[in-house]
Amino acid sequence: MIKYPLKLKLVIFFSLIIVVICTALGFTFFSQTKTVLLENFTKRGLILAENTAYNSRYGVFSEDLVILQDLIQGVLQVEDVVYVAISNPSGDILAQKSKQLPDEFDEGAPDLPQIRKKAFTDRIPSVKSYLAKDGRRLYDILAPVMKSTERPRGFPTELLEERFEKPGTPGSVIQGFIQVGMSPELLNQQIRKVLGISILVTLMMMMGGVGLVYFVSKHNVRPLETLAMIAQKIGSGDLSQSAPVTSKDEIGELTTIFNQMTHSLKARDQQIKERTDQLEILNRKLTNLNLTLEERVKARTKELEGVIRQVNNEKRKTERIIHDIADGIIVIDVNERIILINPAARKMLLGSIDASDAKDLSLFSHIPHLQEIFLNPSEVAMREIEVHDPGRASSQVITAVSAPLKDHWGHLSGKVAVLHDITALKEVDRLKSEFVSQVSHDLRTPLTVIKGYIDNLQDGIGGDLTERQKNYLDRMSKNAGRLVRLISDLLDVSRMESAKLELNLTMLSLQGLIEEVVNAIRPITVEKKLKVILNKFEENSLLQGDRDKLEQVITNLLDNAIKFTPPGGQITITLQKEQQVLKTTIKDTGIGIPPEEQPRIFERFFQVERASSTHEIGSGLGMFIAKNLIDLHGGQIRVTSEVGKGSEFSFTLPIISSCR
Amino acid sequence: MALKRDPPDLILTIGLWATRVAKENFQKIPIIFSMVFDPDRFSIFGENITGVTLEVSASEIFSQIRDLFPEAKKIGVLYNPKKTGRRIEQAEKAARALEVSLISVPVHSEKDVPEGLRTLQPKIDLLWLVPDSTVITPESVDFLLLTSFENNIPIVTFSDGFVRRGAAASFSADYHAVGEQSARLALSILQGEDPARLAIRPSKKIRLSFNLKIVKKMGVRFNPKVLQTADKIYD
Repeated sequence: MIKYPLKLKLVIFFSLIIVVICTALGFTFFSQTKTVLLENFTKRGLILAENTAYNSRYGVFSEDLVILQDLIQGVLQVEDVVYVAISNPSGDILAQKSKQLPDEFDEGAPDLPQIRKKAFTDRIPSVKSYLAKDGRRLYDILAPVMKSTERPRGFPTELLEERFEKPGTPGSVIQGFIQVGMSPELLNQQIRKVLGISILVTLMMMMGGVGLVYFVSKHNVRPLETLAMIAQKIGSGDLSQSAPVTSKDEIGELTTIFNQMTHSLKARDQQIKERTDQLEILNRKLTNLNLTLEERVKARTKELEGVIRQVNNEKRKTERIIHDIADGIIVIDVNERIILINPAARKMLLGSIDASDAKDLSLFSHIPHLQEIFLNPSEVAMREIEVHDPGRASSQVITAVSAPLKDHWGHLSGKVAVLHDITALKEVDRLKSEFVSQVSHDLRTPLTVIKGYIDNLQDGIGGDLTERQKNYLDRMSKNAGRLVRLISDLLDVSRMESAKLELNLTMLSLQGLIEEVVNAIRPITVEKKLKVILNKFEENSLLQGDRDKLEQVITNLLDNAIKFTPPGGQITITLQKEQQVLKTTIKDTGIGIPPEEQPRIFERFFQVERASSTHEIGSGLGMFIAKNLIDLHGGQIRVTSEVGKGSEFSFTLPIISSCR
Repeated sequence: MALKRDPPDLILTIGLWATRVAKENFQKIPIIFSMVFDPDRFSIFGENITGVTLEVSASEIFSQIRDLFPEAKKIGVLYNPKKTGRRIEQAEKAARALEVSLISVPVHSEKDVPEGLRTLQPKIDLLWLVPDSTVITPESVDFLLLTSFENNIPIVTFSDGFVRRGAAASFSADYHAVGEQSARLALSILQGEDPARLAIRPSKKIRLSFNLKIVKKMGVRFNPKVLQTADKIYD
């Protein structure tokens, strides 16, 4: 592509504009002038003809050749006029003379007026252009010679009277015609002259304009060129250059800004150089570091590979464990989709059922209660469930324990459930209960007989007793009583477990009942120097309940308190009304129960470890029975305790009994 | 015709037309005319007719011309013999008597006027225009005046109107005087005089109009006395 300098473009562009404008102006001027000249020409001809017509009135009237020729001669003095002809109203020539057409305009050969034959009735002067025989264009101007019919002003009336003329009527009549032939040669000369001048002036204007444009462009572009040159130098790296500011216009401003830019560029350049140096140093350091790093990365990668291998092994191991473990494991996510179920769980829950494609909890829809453990995702839930497998005759009993599953950040991510098959345990338990029940029954009968005979002996029915014998019998009686209670407890438990225990409900006063029990055990407390306080006792404590069973509960709890409270201790019993329940609290200053054992205190055969070592051994059934009896009454039993300070057992009973 | 139904004692006419109409219609009733140049030419005479003409006599005019333009020796005149022939005859007599050179050129139609004037022009110092309707027409007036200007030949004529338009001087009857004279004639007829015995007479008073401007322009010498005596001066 050819590169056109700005100056050239400017000059060409503005020159083109100037040329166009000048040409247009020149052309307009010329055509206007031409029109005006032509108009003037014909106007002049008309004025001349009209004037001649006016002046020739008398000549035409008197048809006097001398006057007419004089007149014609006068008109022919005008340069443009080629011929003059004067004719009467019917168009016959009275006089004529031609300047340049002698041959054509001989006397007696008046073909000229014929040109205007049609116009010889016109009262208005007219112009007609035509081509003469020699090919020249001529303008023929025709004007009528009018005669006024009015009496001329200042003319003596007496003379008119003499001619018997009536006073003139307004108007005029045509007396003849004047024809003036005009050659446009002079006009054309003028036009040519105007054309010449127009062209000359236009050319001069163009040249002047172009020159001016050239000068202005040069003047304006030179600083730009300088700037461009310097910019080029700067572009090639020579930052020492600066452009001279020669004007105060935009270019001057541009130059100033350019110089500022150059200056900033120089500064920037310097900075960049410094930075580059710094960077190079850094780069070198970095390269070194990189080398070290690479080695380290290599070493670490090797280590990591080992770790990954290890982790993978661990993972496989864990997976293996989960796969092989006898307990079932189910993991779900927050949307209750099963994300893990191990073969044990599958076997327990689905058994011979063809594992469907279901991936959510609907997979277990055939198992009652299982889904309940997943209901509250943030809670630990436990449930004993029975699974009936149509493929097997018996059903399985499973404990399902679910716990919330949290991710790395502690957010709830699902739930994990562990299933444990306790069918065998259940069966053992059942067998044990049956055994205990049978044994208890079998033991009670001979024991009752033994007790009877001991009573008889003590009553002296077997004869007088020595002090030693009495003493022996007392011990026997006490232990026999203990044995009876133990067996009775065992029977109660077995009844409870087989759900055979029934309540015998009557209206009773809890306060009275508590007082009775306290009185009954008073000998023991006195013996053990324990202080028993009835505190904040609620007077109105009527409720519906099984008197014997509630007595047993209170006895068990008090026995417990006495058992674990060292001599000189204190037992405080409180009875309070709380909304719809009566709350009984038994607080001791005993040895207390460690927190980890508190939840198990109400289990069967549970013995607090420390207690068992230092105190007399109970059946381990007292608390279990108490809890079950309170449950049967629709109440609740709780324990709070602190090791070394004492325990506090409390149970509630509904005032309006809603026993099971 | 109203006059015919109830004939008056006397008819006073003003102008040629009125006079001719009256003369043709009334032969018994006395007619007194006025404002007529040449009653003879139109046969305005008879037992019952008398009046005052506008004519100024040639001898009067020539003497006045001699007084006014002392250097004008040769006086030219154009006339139609049929119209003003008799008057020119009288004028030639008067000219001879006053030793004035009168050059008369007859014209027979209006178209002869330019040619006649061209014949006359080189021979004369002054052009006298007589009231001849062949020579003086609305068309010819300008030509006559123009020829006068071009050749520095002053025109002496009979109407103040021409002086206003460019003639050098005019000698005309005073219209007021003509009126007064007509009235006196009428009075004497009504007092019993016979019209036939009362002669047709010219105006007693002559008005002189002088165009100072044109005369000065022509460079013609004139008697400065005229500036006092002239009735009207166009300046």
